[in-house]
Amino acid sequence: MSEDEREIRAGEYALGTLRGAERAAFERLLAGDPALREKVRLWAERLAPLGAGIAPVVPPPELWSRVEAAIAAPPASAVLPFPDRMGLEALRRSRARWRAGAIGAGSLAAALALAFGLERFLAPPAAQGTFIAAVNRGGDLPALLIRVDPRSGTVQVRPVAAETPQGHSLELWSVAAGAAPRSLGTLDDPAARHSLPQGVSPDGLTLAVSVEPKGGSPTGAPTGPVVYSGRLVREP
Amino acid sequence: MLSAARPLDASTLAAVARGDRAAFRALYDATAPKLFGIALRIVQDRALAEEVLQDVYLRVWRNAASYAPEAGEPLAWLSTIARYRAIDVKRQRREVLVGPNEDGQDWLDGVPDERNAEAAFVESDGLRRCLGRLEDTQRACVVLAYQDGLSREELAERFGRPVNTIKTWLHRGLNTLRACLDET
Repeated sequence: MSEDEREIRAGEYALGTLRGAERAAFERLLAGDPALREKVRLWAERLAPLGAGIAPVVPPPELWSRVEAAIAAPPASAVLPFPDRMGLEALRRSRARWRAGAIGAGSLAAALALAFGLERFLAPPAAQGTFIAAVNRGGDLPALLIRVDPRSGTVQVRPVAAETPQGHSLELWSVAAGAAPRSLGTLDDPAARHSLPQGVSPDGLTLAVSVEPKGGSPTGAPTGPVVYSGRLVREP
Repeated sequence: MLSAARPLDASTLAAVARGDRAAFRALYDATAPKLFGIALRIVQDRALAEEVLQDVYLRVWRNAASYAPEAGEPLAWLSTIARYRAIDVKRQRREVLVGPNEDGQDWLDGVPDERNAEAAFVESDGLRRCLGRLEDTQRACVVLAYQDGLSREELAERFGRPVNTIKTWLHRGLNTLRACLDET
């Protein structure tokens, strides 16, 4: 990249117009390039006065309580690394990952506490007797919100910050204790409703999301790494 | 613009870095409305903007020690974090899957929209003067990208022009801005 290109790419990054692969590639460059970071910093400084035109909006009072609860909680630790090198290594370890995912999901209680008020993401307002899971990979924002209505057996997925690696599909699995993971379908179609398998209780059920070949796992069992997981809790 | 109970400066962030919760609360009170305004404008979803803010303050609490006064005023530093975080969330959400039920946005009507004022609000004389050197379309692209977090593709849609045209406008606009700002 020429010096001019570096300059303009840094400007666009600070402006926020890079997206997708281009943005990710630039961020990888930034990580190892202090001179480029300095360019971005200078651009941010040049453009900062533009922020003066944005009117402040008072956030709801309960947001402070959520922030306070968040800083009191230990960092969520249900971390499954992502993105991961896919392939043989991942395949070899996938059984261990499932186990780790199922155990790690317990600490998602902390993430759920952080995410108090999440039901507002879901429209229409929650009916009684439904279950919700904030599915994450250990970040502070959930990747997906999943709501299950046991009466209709439907599973609704609301993405918040999920990333699908190019040329792949994300596939949703229910992982009942002592049973093999069962596919609930891919998340390719955002409007799709999924169904819980017959006889599976949603209470405390672990849900997991794996990276699969486009269109879903060819074997009916997860083949790629588990990138997100979470446990269903009864909605208050 | 801020209803700061006490002045916000580098010492507030230093106190936060030491784990001083009262200082953290003061920082929140002084900056949350501005950051919420920024996040809302970009993600256009109140619940999502709240999540962005919660995430930003959690990061600030954990990483306040990484604040260096050279990075600018604390509010500018926090605004940058909030903007990047909001853009992250917006991009990821848009590009992967958009939920079938978008929330109603009536409440947004109450948010003053100053986009039509374009550069008039800019308090910095230097930037205002330099924005004045841009062609109208270039200036509109830069302002909309910064304030509303629009990507090239979204700008292309907004202006009904190909993405490559937008890219050219942005590049010319940014080059003119930099040349102008750096000469002063």
